[in-house]
Amino acid sequence: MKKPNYISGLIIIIIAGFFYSLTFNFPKLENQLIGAEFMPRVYSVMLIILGSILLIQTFRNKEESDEQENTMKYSIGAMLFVILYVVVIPYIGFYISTFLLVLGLLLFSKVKNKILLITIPVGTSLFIFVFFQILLKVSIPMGTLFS
Amino acid sequence: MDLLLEGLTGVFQLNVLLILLMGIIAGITIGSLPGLTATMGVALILPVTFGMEPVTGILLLIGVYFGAVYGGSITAILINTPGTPSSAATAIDGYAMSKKGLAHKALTVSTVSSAIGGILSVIVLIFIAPQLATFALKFSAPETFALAVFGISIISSIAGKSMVKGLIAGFIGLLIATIGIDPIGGFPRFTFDNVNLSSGINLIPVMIGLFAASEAFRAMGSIFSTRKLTIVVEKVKLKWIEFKILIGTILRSGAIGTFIGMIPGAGGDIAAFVAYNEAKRFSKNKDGFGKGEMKGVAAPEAANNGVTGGAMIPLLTLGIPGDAVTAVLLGALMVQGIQPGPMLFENNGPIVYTLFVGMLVANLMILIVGLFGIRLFTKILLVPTTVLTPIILVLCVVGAYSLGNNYFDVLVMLISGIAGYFLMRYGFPASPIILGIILGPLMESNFRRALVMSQGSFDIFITRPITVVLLILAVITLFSPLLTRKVKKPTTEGES
Repeated sequence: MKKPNYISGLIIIIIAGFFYSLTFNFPKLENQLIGAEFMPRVYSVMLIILGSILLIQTFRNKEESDEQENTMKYSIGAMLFVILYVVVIPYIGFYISTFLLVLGLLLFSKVKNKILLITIPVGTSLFIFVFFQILLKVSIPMGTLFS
Repeated sequence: MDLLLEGLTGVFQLNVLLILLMGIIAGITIGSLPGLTATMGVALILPVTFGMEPVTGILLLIGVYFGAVYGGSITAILINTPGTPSSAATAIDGYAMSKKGLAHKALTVSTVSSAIGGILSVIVLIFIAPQLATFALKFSAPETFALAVFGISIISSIAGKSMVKGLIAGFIGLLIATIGIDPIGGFPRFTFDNVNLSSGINLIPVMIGLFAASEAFRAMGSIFSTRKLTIVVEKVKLKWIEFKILIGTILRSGAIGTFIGMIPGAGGDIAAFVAYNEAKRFSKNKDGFGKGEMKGVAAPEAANNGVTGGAMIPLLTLGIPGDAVTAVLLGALMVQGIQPGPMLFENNGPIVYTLFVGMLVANLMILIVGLFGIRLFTKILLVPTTVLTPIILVLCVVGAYSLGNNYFDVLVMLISGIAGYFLMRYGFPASPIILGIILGPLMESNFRRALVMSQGSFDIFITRPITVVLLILAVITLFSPLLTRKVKKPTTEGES
C-alpha cells in the first residue's frame, strides 16, 4: 500500500491546491465577514493537511502488508467496456449498445454457456425496455444513426 | 393517533402493498448475494422510484433496505459468507448450525428474530421520532449548523481502517458540495462555466456510482475465485418451546439494535456484534456459542434489523443520515420533494405516518416471505456473479440517466464509479464522501446564516446551550474512535 498512498496523497494535495487557488477569483463583498470563498478554503486547506499527514504516515510506516494486486486488470477492463458503452449510446442507441456491452462483458469474464450468452444480453435489453421505457416512461436514447 | 390511522389507509392499498412486497423480495435477493450490499440495492433501485408517488417510491426502497438486511443472513448461515457486513456475526453460529444439518432451523430463527427486532424498532421510532422532531423545531441556524457538524463528525466512526483516509474522503465530499451556486451570495463556485455544474453535482448519480458501479467493477476482478456450491437444506423445524427460550434474547437484541441504530455512525455490523456479545454474556451456556447456539443467530439478526428503525430516527427528525444506506434514502426523499428534518412532521405528517405503518408491514412481510420462501431464496446463491455484474452496470447507467434524462448525470455516475473503485481499493471509504455532499450545504448555509444573525460574532456558537452540547458531542464523536482504537483493533468496517 506504500506506493498508492504516496500517489493518492499527492493527488489530493494537488487537487485541493487547485481548488484553493480558484477561490481567489470569487468576489469579495465588503460588508460580509465570511463570503463564498471561506468554506471551500477551509476544506481545501484541511485536505492539504490530511494529504500531508497521509504522506508522512506512509513514510514513517516502514512495513505494511501489501494487498494483492492480481485482480485489477479485469476491473479496469470492465471500466473500459462501460466507458466505450457510454460513448457509443448517443450514436447507435441504447438497446444495441446494451446488448453489445452485456455480451462483451460476459465473454470477457469467460462465460462459455451459449444459452447464457444469448439470453442475458437480450433479457437485459428487454427488461430495460419494459421496465424503464414502458412502465417508467424514461425516454431511452435511440441513437442518431436511427433517427 | 389519527395520523396513524391515516397511515394505515395509505399503506393498505393493493398497489402499495404489492410494491412493498416487491421491494422486500428484491431486497432479500440482493442481500443474500454476497458482494451486493443493502446500500448497493437501494442505490440501484432508487431510479425506479423517480416516477412513483412519494410514499410508494420510498416504501419500495424501505422494502429493499429491510429485505437486504435480513437477506444477508441467508448466505451467512448457508455458506459462511455474510451477504452484508451486518450479518457477519450471524455467520458464527449460523454456519455452525448448518454444518450440523440445522440450516433450516437457523434460517427460521433468523427470520423470526429479524422480523421481531425490526417491528420493535419501528414501534420505538413511532414513539420517539415525533418528540425529537418537536424538540428540534426550536433549532435555529446555529443549532442546525452544530447538528450538521455532529452529523459530519461520525465520519471518524465509519472511516474503516485508516482515520486519515476516512477524513480525506469526508473533506472530498464537503469540497464537492461547494460546487455550484453559493447558498448565501448566489455566486457560482467551481462551475468552470458549465451549465450542468451550476446547480451543483447531483447526489444520486454519485451514490449510484460509488455504491453500485464501483462494487460491480470490483466484482469483475473476483469472478474467477467463485466456488461451486451444493446446498442442501433439510427441514428441521423450530419448536415453540425453543422459540420461548429465544424471545428474551430477541427482544433484548432488538432493543440494543434500535438504540445503536439511533446513534449516527454506528451501523448494523456494530449492533450485531454487541448483541451477540450480550447474548453470550447473559447465557448460561456460554461454551455453546460459536458451536451452533440458536441465540447466537437470534441476537445479531434481531439487532441488525433493529438498527433499521433506529436509524430512521435521526434521518427523519434531524435530516442526519447515520450510515450509507440512510444517506441513499435521504437522497431518495429529497428527489421526491420531501426534506427530512424537524419540519417534516409538520409539513408531511400523513406521509411520515404512512411510512411508519409501511415499515411495520415490511417487517411482517419479511416474516411471511422468509418463513415460506426460504428454500427458494437459497437457490439465489447459485446465480453466478459473472451474469450479475454486466446487468448491474447497465442498471447504473440507465438509473443515472433516468434521473433527469440528462447525459451529464451518466458521466457523473461513471466518474464516481471509477473513482470509487480506486478509492475503495486503496482504503478510502465511500460513505464519508456522501455524508460530506449531503451535510456540507446544510453546514455552510447555517454557519453563514448564524454569523449574519450575530453580526459576525463567533460567540453565537458558544453561548447557546443546544449548540454547545451538539458541538461538544461532535468533538467526542470525532475523537472517540481514536480512543477505542487504542484499546482494541477494529473488527468491522463502516459500510453496510
